[in-house]
Amino acid sequence: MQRAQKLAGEFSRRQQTLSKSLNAFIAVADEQSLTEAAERAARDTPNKPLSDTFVAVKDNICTSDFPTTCASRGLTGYRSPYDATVVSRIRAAGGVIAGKTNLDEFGMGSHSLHSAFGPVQTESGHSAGGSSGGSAVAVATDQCHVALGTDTGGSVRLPAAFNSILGFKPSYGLVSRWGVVAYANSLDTVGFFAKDSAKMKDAFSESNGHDALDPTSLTSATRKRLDTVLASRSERSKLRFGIPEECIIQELSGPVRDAWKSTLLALQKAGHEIALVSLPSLPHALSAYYILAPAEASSNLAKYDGVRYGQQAPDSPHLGPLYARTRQHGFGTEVRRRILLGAYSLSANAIDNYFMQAQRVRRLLKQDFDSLFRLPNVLSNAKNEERDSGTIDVILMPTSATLPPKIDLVKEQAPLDAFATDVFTVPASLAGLPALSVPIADQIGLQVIGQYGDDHNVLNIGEVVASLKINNRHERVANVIDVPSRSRERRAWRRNLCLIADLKSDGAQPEEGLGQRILLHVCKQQEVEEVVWPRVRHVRELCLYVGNDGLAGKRLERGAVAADRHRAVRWVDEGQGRGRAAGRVVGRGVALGAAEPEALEVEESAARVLVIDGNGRRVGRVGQGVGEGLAVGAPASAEEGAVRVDAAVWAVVIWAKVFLEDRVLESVVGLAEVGLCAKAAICV
Amino acid sequence: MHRAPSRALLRALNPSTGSLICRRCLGTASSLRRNAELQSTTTRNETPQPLRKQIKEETRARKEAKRSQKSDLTSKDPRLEKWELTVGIEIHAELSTAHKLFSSAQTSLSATPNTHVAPFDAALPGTQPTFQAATLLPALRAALALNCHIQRKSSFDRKHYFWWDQPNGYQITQYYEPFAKNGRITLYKHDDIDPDDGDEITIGIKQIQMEQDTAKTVAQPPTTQLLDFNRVSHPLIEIITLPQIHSPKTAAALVRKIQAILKAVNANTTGMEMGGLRADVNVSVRDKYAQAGSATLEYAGVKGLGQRTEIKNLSSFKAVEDAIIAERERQISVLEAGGIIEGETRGWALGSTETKRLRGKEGEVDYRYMPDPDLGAVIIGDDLLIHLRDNMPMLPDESIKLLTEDPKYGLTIKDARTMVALDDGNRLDYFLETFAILDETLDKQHSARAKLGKTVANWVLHDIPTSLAATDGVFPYTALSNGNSTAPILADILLHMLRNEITTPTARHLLSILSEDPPRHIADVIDAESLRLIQMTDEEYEILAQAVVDSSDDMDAVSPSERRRH
Repeated sequence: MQRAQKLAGEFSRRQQTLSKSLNAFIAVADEQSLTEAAERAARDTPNKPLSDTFVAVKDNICTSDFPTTCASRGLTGYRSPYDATVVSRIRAAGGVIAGKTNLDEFGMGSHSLHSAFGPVQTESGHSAGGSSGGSAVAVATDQCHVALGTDTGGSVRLPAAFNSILGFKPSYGLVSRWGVVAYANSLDTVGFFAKDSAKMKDAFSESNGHDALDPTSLTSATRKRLDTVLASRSERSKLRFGIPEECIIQELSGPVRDAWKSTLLALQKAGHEIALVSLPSLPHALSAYYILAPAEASSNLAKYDGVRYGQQAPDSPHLGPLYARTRQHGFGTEVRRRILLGAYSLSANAIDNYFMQAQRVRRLLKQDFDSLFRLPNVLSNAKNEERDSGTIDVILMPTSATLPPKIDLVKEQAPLDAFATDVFTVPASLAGLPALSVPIADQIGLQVIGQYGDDHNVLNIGEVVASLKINNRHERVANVIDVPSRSRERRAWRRNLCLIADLKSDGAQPEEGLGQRILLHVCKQQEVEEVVWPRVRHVRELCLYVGNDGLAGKRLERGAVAADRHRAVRWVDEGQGRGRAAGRVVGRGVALGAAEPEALEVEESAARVLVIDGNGRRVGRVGQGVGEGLAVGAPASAEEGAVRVDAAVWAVVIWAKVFLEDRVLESVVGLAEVGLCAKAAICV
Repeated sequence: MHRAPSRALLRALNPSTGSLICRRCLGTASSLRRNAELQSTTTRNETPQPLRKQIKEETRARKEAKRSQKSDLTSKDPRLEKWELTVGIEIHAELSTAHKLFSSAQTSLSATPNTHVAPFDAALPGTQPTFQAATLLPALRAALALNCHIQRKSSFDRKHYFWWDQPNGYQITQYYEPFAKNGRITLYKHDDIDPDDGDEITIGIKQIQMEQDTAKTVAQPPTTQLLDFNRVSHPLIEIITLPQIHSPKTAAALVRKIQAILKAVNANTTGMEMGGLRADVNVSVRDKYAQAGSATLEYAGVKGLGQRTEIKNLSSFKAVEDAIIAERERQISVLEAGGIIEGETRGWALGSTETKRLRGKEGEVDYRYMPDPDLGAVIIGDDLLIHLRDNMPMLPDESIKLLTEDPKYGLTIKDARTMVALDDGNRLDYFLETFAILDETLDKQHSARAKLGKTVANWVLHDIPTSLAATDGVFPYTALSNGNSTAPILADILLHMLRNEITTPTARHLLSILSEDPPRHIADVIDAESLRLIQMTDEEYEILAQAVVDSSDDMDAVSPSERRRH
């Protein structure tokens, strides 16, 4: 009881102090009411998991003791006659509701600026992220222990990343949405913010449960089935993390890429496996999201007409009839924009091309995800036996492609730029998967995305990722690469370096599960011989790299794999032995960067440039402009040839050292670098 | 001695009640009764009650005259020779259920406004629909009765438009995947279809969907509109027929029959009369003799149609027929004047002669149909369908067949139709119940058995309503106090009558007990009021007759033959 009173006083005073500067709350209780509420909770629900836990609630979740405004002028002063189920459950578990937090109106926004109560601020002047920015800032600045948010396309994870705290979006259907004001109901998910992983787990566990009032709440029968599936899974101490290659995009900013890369390296070092995976539908996810969410929003927000509750517009002859007037008056610009977008994509002439297509993309994306995870999806109709079992435990990818922008800059952005902020968060939303944003560096979060229903595992793996010691990561990466292979540790790591088989099937059936692009981990050259080669058929392009054995780079002609495989490997040896790079250019897609005469045979139609350094010495210079903004490092003797690759539009660098003058600028290693460095890494 | 009819005696003695007869005179008595009945029919013709029959006959005569006039018109009107009418109908029927479609709030007809409103019904922020599975049962019964294919999986969609009676800004309906498709309904001559349609015509049902009703608006002139959200989310079904109707009369017959079927299967109990059923009609005409290709439109797979218009919200059978006639005439006139029909929505006011344009294509609402993201698919299991099929109430057509073709009942088609049509089938149930009790209790060899069905039908259809007409009462199906059926009481009365324990007039007299609250026991009343036929010896009869003769100077013995001459 005393602790509760003490905490209530502390939080209340902190809320008062920060209210002006951060604007994280729309409504808070005064110190006396908060103390009373805390005492009541301590008395009525003692010794519960959330006892003495102060929980801030996003203001689009209904509470009977505070107004629920959704940060909309139209709902100013609206008080819900009932508590949302999640609020009731938090209260029942001993939690104290600490106030209602600021947000983008109805959850529509990525920076918490579109609020009728003013934008959410941060101490650094950067965007708080959105739409649950108020909740994130409240937790980050210790105005509460835990905060509830809603995540429709990233509204919990993005602000969590920007504020360097944990942000969790559970699987769709686990936490009841009764009382959660709908933005896009098929995507809306109640989410949680905390600094402390244990508190996060408690808040989630207490909120998780079937609710008959929410028709999308996971049924008790399915929950049972899920428990069975989870229980039958074999425990593994080594985890396998999937890296979606479609996430390796040029917009990825340097610090985020570095944080991601070093986390992967640290995970490898800790004995976990990294696998490059593919989500072919992912590039369409953002577009699909921005069709579906506004469509549902335009429907869900039709009820705000001022007839039964909320603010009615003042009488004015200029603004047209009551409804138009009220809605014009009540909604902010972003909400109006999305309602218009949605109304358009649902209209009779557009629905087939937009809404229906987006639904299709969503289904494909779900299938893509399902094919990756070891755990089957309990919601999928396909029988488990028929399913091609995936291999990974979770996906690990950045929450945001960039660091949070300054608020002033956001205000100058076009709306489309703000939409693009969600590019990494919408896939998990569309597929309904659990996703946890783990703070990995200042203002940078990595998402752990798991199979549907694997929420507890995601939270646990989040702890694993968060506990990695990654300091001064630039230096560390360089060290790893430069240390001679005598060190046992380093050697192990190098062996683990991925062997990339970038295969494009030629329309023929890929055999033994080898698709267009695969990634294999190979420890020994022998495995390349025994495991990889026999499986490769009908390949158009293949690049092989073996860690400490050196480097093989070869582009093989269609069907020529078997015949050439020994040669490919031998070249590497030769290249190292003679201190020369091995490389070859054949047709579309080139392997470049060798002193071999073939390297000069770069065709104009080359679609790929492989920059290879086999001997660890200076092989090229930065800044050779090639094709569309590419810079390729090439040996001096091949410079001319490199320049001739002017039709190249993409580069894949597997292992190269890029020098400026004589200083190592960048060493690029491993699978994670595929494409990552396409423009960025080499064009330092 | 020639006996005077006891009735005559009785009247002289006690004009109000009772009848006396000597057992040995039964033979005479029965002939007397016949006479009395004959007489009473004639007498009734003079009293106000038979007016009903008279009116009925007059109406029939009028109708027939009208019909012949109309058919004259049809044959004479060259326009209808040239132009063919095509009609498709959409019927919205409120389902009789305890709860609303998407909340546990009760359905209500006349409750205090806004007393049955769940948070979702008022579209409060954060609320979600909860599909009430029980509402599916009457909908499925309706679909089965209309021979529909029940979709194993159906789903709900949102239909968007702003109106104050629509709290969510959309109506939840079934647009993409309705629960029932491809049904049909057959109309017969006795359903009063157009003679041109022959003995029977079958109309296809495109689909049946479930949807929500809106709030009720109560206008408070001059400018106030009060809203009653009790009706919001009442479950409705919308029945959409194929455009296979070619006559206004048949269209009205179809709506009437669908209403009867919905009542029979207890899917809709309120009907058009109480606003529980409304119809929209789609009307088009085409030139019968035009070359193929001139009427090129297609609706629901029916090809070669002219441009249609929709007339919304027709709330009586007459309105359906009249509005279609008016719209047909309008369209023909437009086309004959060289104009073109525009696809538009029109309205019809009761008593008017033409339809009125409400909005044209440019004013058409784009409903922006969207699958409801909150509501999952409705999966209907085969076991449920089997159960419903096995327990389907009898349909009007089946009932009529049973009443007329089963020798047990042996009713005329006219009586059978009346029986089925009256009071949502309650009269039929009442008849069957009374009949069943009598069938059970009446002595197996009783002579009245042969015509038991007709006898009971006459009482249920004629005698009870006649006895009620004087008091302007409603048909006493159930006792007021406990809601029990009064059929056993009627059966009791008739049993006494058929066993000759009381006379027919006494039995009629006793009918008032059906409306009593609580009803007295029949045997008690008979005893208390001395209504029982009493065995009388010749001596007693003589004394009685003598007493009558003595009490009146001008009374002579009257012979039956003389009576008959009166």
